[in-house]
Amino acid sequence: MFNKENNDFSSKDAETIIGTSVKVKGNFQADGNIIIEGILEGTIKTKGNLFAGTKSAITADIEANGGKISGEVRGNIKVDGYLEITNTARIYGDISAQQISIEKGAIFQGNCQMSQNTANQ
Amino acid sequence: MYVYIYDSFLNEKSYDRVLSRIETRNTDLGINGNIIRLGMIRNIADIVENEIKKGAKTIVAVGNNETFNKLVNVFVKLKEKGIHYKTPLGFIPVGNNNEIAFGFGIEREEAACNILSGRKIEILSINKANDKSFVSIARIPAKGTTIKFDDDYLIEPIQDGWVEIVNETMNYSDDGNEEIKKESSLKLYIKPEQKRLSRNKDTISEIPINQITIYNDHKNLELDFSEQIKTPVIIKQSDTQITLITGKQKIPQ
Repeated sequence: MFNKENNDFSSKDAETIIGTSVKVKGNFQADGNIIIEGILEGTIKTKGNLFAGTKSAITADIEANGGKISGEVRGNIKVDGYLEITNTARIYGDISAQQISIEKGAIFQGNCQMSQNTANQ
Repeated sequence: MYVYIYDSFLNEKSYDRVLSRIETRNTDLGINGNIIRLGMIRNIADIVENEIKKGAKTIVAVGNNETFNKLVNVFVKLKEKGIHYKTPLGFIPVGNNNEIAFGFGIEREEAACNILSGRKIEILSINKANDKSFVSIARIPAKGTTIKFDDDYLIEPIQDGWVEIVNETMNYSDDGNEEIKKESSLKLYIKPEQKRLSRNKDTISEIPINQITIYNDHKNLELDFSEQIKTPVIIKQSDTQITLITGKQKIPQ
C-alpha cells in the first residue's frame, strides 16, 4: 500500500484515518497504517506506515515502519524503513530512517540520522 | 412456531390494513403464528421468555427501530440471565423510522415476510453502551463531544457533524445451528458536515475501537436510531451474540 516506487498511500489500506475535522491529544498507538489529515498532539506509534497529509498539524514524536510527510510535524520522526518528505512538508525536529528522500520546497530543521546498513551500501 | 410481537403504536386503526396484508402473506408462506400485541402494561421481557420456553421457533418484532431495539435488549438480557436458546429474531418493519431494518436488507411490510420465510440467518455480536445494548449503530452530534480511549488519548471533533460507532461484524450461517466465532469489529467514524458550496470534501475519520467513553454535556447518545442515553457512556464489545433473520444486502434509502 505504501512503497517508494509509486509513492502511493491508499486510504483503503489504512486502518486508521484522522480527518481534518478532528483533534487528537495523547499517546496514540496503532498496529496498522495511519493517515493523518487533522491535528495531533502527544506521541504516535505504529507498526505500520504513516502518512501525514498536507493539512496535518502534528506536535508529537513519531515512530513508524515507514512514513510520508506532507504536512507540519513538530517533533522527532523515527522510521525503520523509508521516509519520504514531500515539497509541502515542514519538519521541526530530528529524523531517523534507513532511507530518506526530501523534495525541493520542503522545510526541515533538525538533525538527520540514517542507519548503518544504508551507509555501507 | 412463529411468534409475532406487534408494537403498541400498531394498535391505531390506520395500521389495520397493512397488518391484514402482512398476516395474509404470512399465511400464504406458511409462517403464520401467534400474535401478541404490546400495550402499556405488558412486560415484553416476560412475554418473550415465556414464548421461548414454550418452544417458539422464531420471535418476530413487528414495528420500527424502537421495536427492534426493545427486542434486542430483551434477547440480550435473557442471555445474560443464563437462559440459553437458539431462537432467532425476525423483523417486519412497518411505516417510517426503519433504518435498522434497511441496514440488514429487510424490506418493508409484506416484502419482509418473504425474507422471514427465506430464513437467512446472521449471527450478530452485541455491543454495550453502559447497561444498554445496540446492534448496529450508536451516534451523537460531533459538536461538544469528546471521546476517550482508555487513559491513552482523547479525540475532539472540531467541526459540526456526527460521531458514529458502527458494528462492522457480520457473520453468516446457512442454517443458524452453528455459531461462528469471529472477533467483533467496532469502528468509530467522525463525519464532518459537508458544506454545500465547498468544493473540498472534509475527510471522514475512521478508528477501530475496543472500548471508549463518550462525553457530551448537551446531547444524548442515540442507539440504533431509537433509544437515547445520557453521557458519559462507555461503549464496548460484548461476548453476547444473537441470531437475526436478514435480507441479502443493505437497502438504499
